[in-house]
Amino acid sequence: MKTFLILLVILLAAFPAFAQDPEATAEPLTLYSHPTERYHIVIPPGWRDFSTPTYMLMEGGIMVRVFARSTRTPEVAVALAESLSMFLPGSDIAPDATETLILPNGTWTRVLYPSLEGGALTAYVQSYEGVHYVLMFMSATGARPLVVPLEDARADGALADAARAAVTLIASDVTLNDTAGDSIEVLGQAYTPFTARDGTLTAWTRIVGSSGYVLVTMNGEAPDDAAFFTILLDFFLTPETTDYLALGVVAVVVVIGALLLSLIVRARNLRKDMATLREIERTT
Amino acid sequence: MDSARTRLNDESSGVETSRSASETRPPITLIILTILTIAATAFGLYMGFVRAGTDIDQGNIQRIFYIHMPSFFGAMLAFGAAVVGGIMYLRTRKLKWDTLSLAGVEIGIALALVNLVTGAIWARPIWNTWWNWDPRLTADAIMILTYAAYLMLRSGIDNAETRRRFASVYGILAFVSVLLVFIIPRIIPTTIHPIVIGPVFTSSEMAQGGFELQASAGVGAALGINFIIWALLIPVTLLWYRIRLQTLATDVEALRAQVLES
Repeated sequence: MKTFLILLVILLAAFPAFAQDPEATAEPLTLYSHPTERYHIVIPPGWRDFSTPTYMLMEGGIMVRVFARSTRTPEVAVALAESLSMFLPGSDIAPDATETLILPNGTWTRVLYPSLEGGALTAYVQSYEGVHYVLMFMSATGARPLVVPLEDARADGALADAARAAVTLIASDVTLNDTAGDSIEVLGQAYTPFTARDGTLTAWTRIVGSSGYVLVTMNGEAPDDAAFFTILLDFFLTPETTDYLALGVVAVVVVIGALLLSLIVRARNLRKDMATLREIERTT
Repeated sequence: MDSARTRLNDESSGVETSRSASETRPPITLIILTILTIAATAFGLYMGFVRAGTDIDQGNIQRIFYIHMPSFFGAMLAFGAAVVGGIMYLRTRKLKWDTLSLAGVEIGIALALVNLVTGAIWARPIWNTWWNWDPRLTADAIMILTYAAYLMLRSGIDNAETRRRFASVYGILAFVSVLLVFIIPRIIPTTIHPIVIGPVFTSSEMAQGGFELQASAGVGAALGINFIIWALLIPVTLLWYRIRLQTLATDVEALRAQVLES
């Protein structure tokens, strides 16, 4: 019995040594996690992080910046205005258009602002449990990350359809060439370009699920700003699961408590029985 | 009375009766072990629920893992004790081994239930369901039912010797269900159940809800400490109390027989 227990102890003690190699599943991208607000944003390779406790700010080169924060204001419009005043102090611009989009990581409101002197500003807002999470993408090249739902994402002309739908959002008078250019790869994703006939802009397209992801850049710039999509798609919130943890603890207490109670009650009853039997034995 | 006690101290049955072991206060070793277990459990909960970092993908529910996984190994230890008890009873026919076997099954079922229930509660926010018929989960449920049937088998056989013999054989064979629960997620590529520690022979691409021990500060330490508590201290302490209880029950039964005889 003792040998058995000793062997079990040794076996159990050695078990954690089988822990999986952490490098095997290590995530190569840097992740920004807000210390209290439960949101997380991927920092693409080469980008610099200028975050403060109030908001997250990062820059890719000198041309693009991403701003993120959470706010508990009741109105999305107020959350956007507050964020804008922090991201671009002194600017007082109203959105051109808003649209609700269902993406793999939640429901977003896309907000298009008019073009600024410093470039193009596009915002995405996700509201969850009374908190608005605001992402603002600013590009000096005028690039905008746009997501457009597609009726048939697997159809042959889906990329062209996505490009046209996206361009219509910001420049309805521009006509794109029917022929796509050569695809290029940015951050592991292939983008297919459709250039405007007048050469003023290029729509870099890819399909994710049932949506077209289109980065519209001005003057045919290469889509370095496509990192916007990585940031948008990889944004995630830590779910609030404390209630389930509490339920789990209660369940453990109930199961172990029932076992202990059963042991105590049975022991007490047996002692009573023993005392009674002894009494009978003595009297007889 | 003394002669009766002498008869109860039957070597062949291994029963240590009289007023000593089962009726008196627990031995000092058991008292120390109990205090250590209670203190360690509190410390383990502090390490898991306070000190360890929050999993960014799962939130606080991931902390239930510090009980969920070790409690399975605690059940495994208890069911293993039942196997040892069964084998030794069949070899020696001493009652103490049957007592160990019965205690092992009862404590093992309780810890397996802890494992099962905490797993279901974890699954609700992570898998979006309380339960599914995944091979691992199904095997776990079958394991608990198999051992519940052990208790039913015992209560269904009147003859004590036959009961112990059948229960010993059943307890040994039932351990196959424990091994299946351990092995299934490691060899079946379609299981949704993640494997965080231990050897993996075939990785499942469908596994959801895993995490890395190095994911945030204190996770490895919290798991190690809770592993020792739930897989070792708690089952051993509970086994000891359950064995004392069964010894007392055997004493009472023997005394009842004597009183009836006299």
